[in-house]
Formats: sequence, C-alpha cells, structure tokens
Amino acid sequence: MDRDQTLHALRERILAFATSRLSRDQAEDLTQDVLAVLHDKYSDVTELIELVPLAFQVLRYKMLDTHRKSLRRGEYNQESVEDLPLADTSNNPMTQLDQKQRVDRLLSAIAQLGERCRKLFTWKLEGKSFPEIQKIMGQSSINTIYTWDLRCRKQLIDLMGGSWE
Amino acid sequence: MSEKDLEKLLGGFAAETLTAEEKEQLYRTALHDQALFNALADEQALKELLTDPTVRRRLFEALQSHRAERASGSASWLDWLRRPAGIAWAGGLAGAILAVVLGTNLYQESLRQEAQLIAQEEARPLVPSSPVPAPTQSATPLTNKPPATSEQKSRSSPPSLREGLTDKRPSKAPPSGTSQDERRIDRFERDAAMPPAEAGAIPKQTEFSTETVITSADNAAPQSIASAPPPSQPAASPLPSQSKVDSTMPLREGASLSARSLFYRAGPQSPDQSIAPDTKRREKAASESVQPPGQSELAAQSLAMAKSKRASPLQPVGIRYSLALREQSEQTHDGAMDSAAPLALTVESNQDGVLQLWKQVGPAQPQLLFPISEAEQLRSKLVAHTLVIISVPSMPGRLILRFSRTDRIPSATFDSKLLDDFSRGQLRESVTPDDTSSFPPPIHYIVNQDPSLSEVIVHIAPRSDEQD
Repeated sequence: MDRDQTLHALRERILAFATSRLSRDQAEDLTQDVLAVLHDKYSDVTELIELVPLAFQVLRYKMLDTHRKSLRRGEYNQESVEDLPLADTSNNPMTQLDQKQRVDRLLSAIAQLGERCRKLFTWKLEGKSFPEIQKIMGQSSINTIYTWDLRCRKQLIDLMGGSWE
Repeated sequence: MSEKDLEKLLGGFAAETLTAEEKEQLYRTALHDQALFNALADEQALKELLTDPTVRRRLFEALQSHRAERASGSASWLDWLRRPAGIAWAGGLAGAILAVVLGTNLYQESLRQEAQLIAQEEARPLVPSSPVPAPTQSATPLTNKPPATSEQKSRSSPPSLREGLTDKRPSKAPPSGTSQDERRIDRFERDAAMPPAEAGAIPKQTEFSTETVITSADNAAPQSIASAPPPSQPAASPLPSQSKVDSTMPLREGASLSARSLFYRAGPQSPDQSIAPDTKRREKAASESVQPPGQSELAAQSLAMAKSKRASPLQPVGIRYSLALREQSEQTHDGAMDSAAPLALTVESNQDGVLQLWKQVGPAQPQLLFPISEAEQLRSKLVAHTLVIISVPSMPGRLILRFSRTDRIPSATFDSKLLDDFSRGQLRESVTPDDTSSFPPPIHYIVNQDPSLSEVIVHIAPRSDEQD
C-alpha cells in the first residue's frame, strides 16, 4: 500500500470517526485539516507504521482544537464572542489542569489494578514488547499475554470512568 | 492473529511497545476496520499521556512504590509483633492455645485412667467381704449339714461367705445310728459354724436367755469349726437342714456385740504380762482353795477341730456349753451304759486351758465332779474349740464350771467367792437351735469382758427344759 492509498483510507476512517463525535460539517473540516497537515508537514512520512500513528496524533490535536474553538465561540453555551477572553496558543492552565487530573486518575486506577496488570503495565512503561513480556512471564503462548493485557486495559479504562480523557 | 483479535494490540499501541510486525498488522487492519480505528483513536489519549516523560516517570514510580509497599507489608507484621501490645497478644494467644491443649490432654488422660480402673475392677474377681477360714481337709468329710436353700441365699450376707459356710456342711444327711452325743456335737457345731455377724442379721425365732451387751458391734469373723465324723443315726430323726438352722438361729435382743461373737473373736496380740494386778490376786486366791474330787464320767470327743487360728493370749476367756438329758439307750464313749449320769454336759472353750466341773448342793462346799480319774485329768486339759462331753449325774444342787487358761488350777477346794468375782463382767448369751423335732437344749456362751481375766466360772442350774 503506497502513501496515497494510505491517506485515502485514512481520510475515510477519520471522517467516519469525526462524524461520530462532531457534526458533519465539522467532521469534514476536521478531516481536511488533518490530511492537510499530513500532506504539508509530514510529506516525507510514507511508511504505514509511521503515517497511521501520525494521523491519529494529528487527529487528536485537531479534535481538541475543534472543541476549544466551539467552546470559545460559544457553540456549547451560546455566549457572545465579545464576552469571551482572547485565545492563548500556549498551554493554558486549563489544559495543564486537565492533564494533571487525567494523570491523577490514571495513577489512582493503576493503584487499583491487580499484581499481574501492574507488572504488565510496568514492563510496558519500561518499553518491553509483548514477546519480551512473554519470556519474562514464562508463558508459552504470546496470545496469553495479549489476552491478559487486553483484560488489564479494559479494567484500567473502567477504573478511569470509561475513557482516557 | 485474526483481525478480530487485533484489539488485543491496543495496549501495546498506547505504550508503543508493539513490534514492527504488530504495528503493520494493526494499522493495516485499522485502515479497513472503523471500530479498530476508533479504538486506536481513543487510545491516542493514553498514548499521549504515556509519551510524556514526566507522566511516564510518575507512573513508573507509583508502580514501584506500590510494589515496595507490598514488600514491606510482610515486614510490618514483624514490626507489629515487636510491639509490647503485639507481644502481649501473641503471648496470651499462645497461652490460651497451650491451656486448651493441656486441658484436653489431662481430660483424655483422666478418661483413660478411669477406663483402666473400670477395666481392672471388672477384671478383678469377687472377693468376700469378710475372711472365712477355709475348712481343713480333715474337717470337710466330717461335716454333716444339708446344703443351703434359696432362702439362705437371699440373705444379706456375702455370697462368698455363704458359700464358704455351705462348703463346710455338705448336704449329705447324717447316717442312721448316730449317737446322741454325736448329734449333740453336731448341733453344737452347727451353732458354732454360724458366724456371729451373720447371726446378727437373722431374725430371732427362738431365744432362751438374754444377757446385757455393753460394747460395740463385733465384726470378727467366726472361726471355722470342723464337725465330728458322722456316725450312724436313725433315719427317722434327720438333722434339720442347714438353712433351717441358720434361719432360726436365735439372737440376743439388740445385741451388736454378743458373748457369742466375743467367744469366737481373736483378741489383740499382746503379751500376758498385761494382765491386771487384781486379776492376778483373784487367781492367787483361787489357787489356794482345795476341794476333794467328786465322781464324774468323761465322754470326751476327739473332734479334730481344726481351727484356722488360735486364740491370742488376751482374747477374752469364754466357754460355751449345753446341758442335755441323756437317752436311756445311750452309751458312753467307751460303750458302758451310764445309768447314773442322765445328763450330758457339752463344753467348748475358746482357748487352751483346764476345765473343772463342780457340784454344789445348798450352802455346802462344792465338790469336784470332773476330773477325777487320771484319764479325766488328761481330758480336762482342753484345746481351744474342742468339744468335751461330760456325763453329769442327776442330783439336786447346781453345777459350777470353771475354766482357766492357766495350767495350774486347784482341784482340792473351791472358793465360793470366786463365783461372784468372776461372774461380774461376764457376757452371757443363749441360743436355741431350731430343732423342733428333738427340742434341742440351748447353747450358752459365757465370756469374760475383761480379756485380762484368765478364768471363767459359771454356775449351771439344771432345768427340765435343758433336755435333749
């Protein structure tokens, strides 16, 4: 699959995802913005395993920008634009607080995990791949490690309230 | 891995620990699978957090600290035990457990010992409550008693004692042709064979006389008495059964300690020098009296009374006797007809000694009736619990029996004052065997209460009812 085919597939998936979270117009605008970034700024990224995660990262940023714009424009509470403060492009305290709260929730959720899940999470933070974790845990099948990790992820996201946000 | 199972790689996507192959497979599938793409898009938030080195370090530290807390959790138990309260709790708990274990062991041990005692009690053979002297080999065939009946067995006396008594008295009836003296001896022995303790438990049916009882109950077992060999006796007059004799053996009223029991009881083993001085004085005075011998006939029976124990020196001196009327056809032991001696006096002492029989008519001086001849001199030396039958002529007056456990007894005179001296403090008891077919004479027991007295003197007034 070449880069154009990848971008074409990405456009469909991004539009569908954005449409599920935003309005159709905002979803199309968001998709166009993401592809524009990939085309203009990351034109040298051609490999699938690099282009797709990059597309997810750009998509997330654009989603957050869209929410901030909508909030700033009063699309959620219908406030006057004149009453809203001017936008700050740097990390504002609200963003910092949001990240801090997410980190605290994540720490609290990890503390409630079981021993195996914490070990798995620790080894993943140490950068160990699933095959390496399989060896560490002495499992003959890597699917066992996949299954354990999937259960631990679901348990963790449940402990965080059903979302990583 | 199937496309459906690619969801399992989401955890590696956020932590960026997927291999190149896993990434290729996951991303290629995500381009065609909207759900997987949406999951990867949502997972990007976590991936963004984990990409931040600060957040990653904090998470790592949190996980390491949690592991350290888990590791220190076991050490905290040791810390808790090192505290005084922890030591007290642990000590108290250990003491309680130890007490429970010891208590359980002690309880089980006591149960086991009790079970052993019960087993030993069950395994132990029945022992009679009172010792009964075993009959000697020579005495057993000489007995002439019927077996015990059910009435006899139902009494309160121990069964073994009862068996011991019945063993000494076979159920075989005496053969016909038994002489009158032998029947007297047999009846005499039947009374003797009955233990006083047993007699005390039997209701009184016949009583001849009653004497005063002073001391407490007598628990001494009677000595076994061997019977004379059963000579021939007419079958028309069989002896009463043993059960009948026992059940009708009379008692002294309210007697807990009787002359009969004292007669058979063994005294304490102490030397003779404990005799009281006044007793010696009376014996000395008695030895000074002299009485001429009178006429008498001795019909001594060598009964081979095998006694299991002899009287001790301080056993109260006692005799028992019965006076019966001789039949006209009766002969003496040597076969000579004794028409001049219609009475037969059967005497038995509980100690070895010398026996004298005196006759006193009115206020005159007593005259010696027995022993007169040299043969009677030998027979007058009684062996304890050996019967002696003395033929007594029928004449007015009274008879005086004098028995001394000392060998020296004057035979010339008899001081009448001695009769009063020795009569004081005597226990008397009379029993009448229930021999309704022949109206047996009563048997009298006379025993000195003072064991230091060496003589017993009793006067006998022949009466018409003391006839055989």
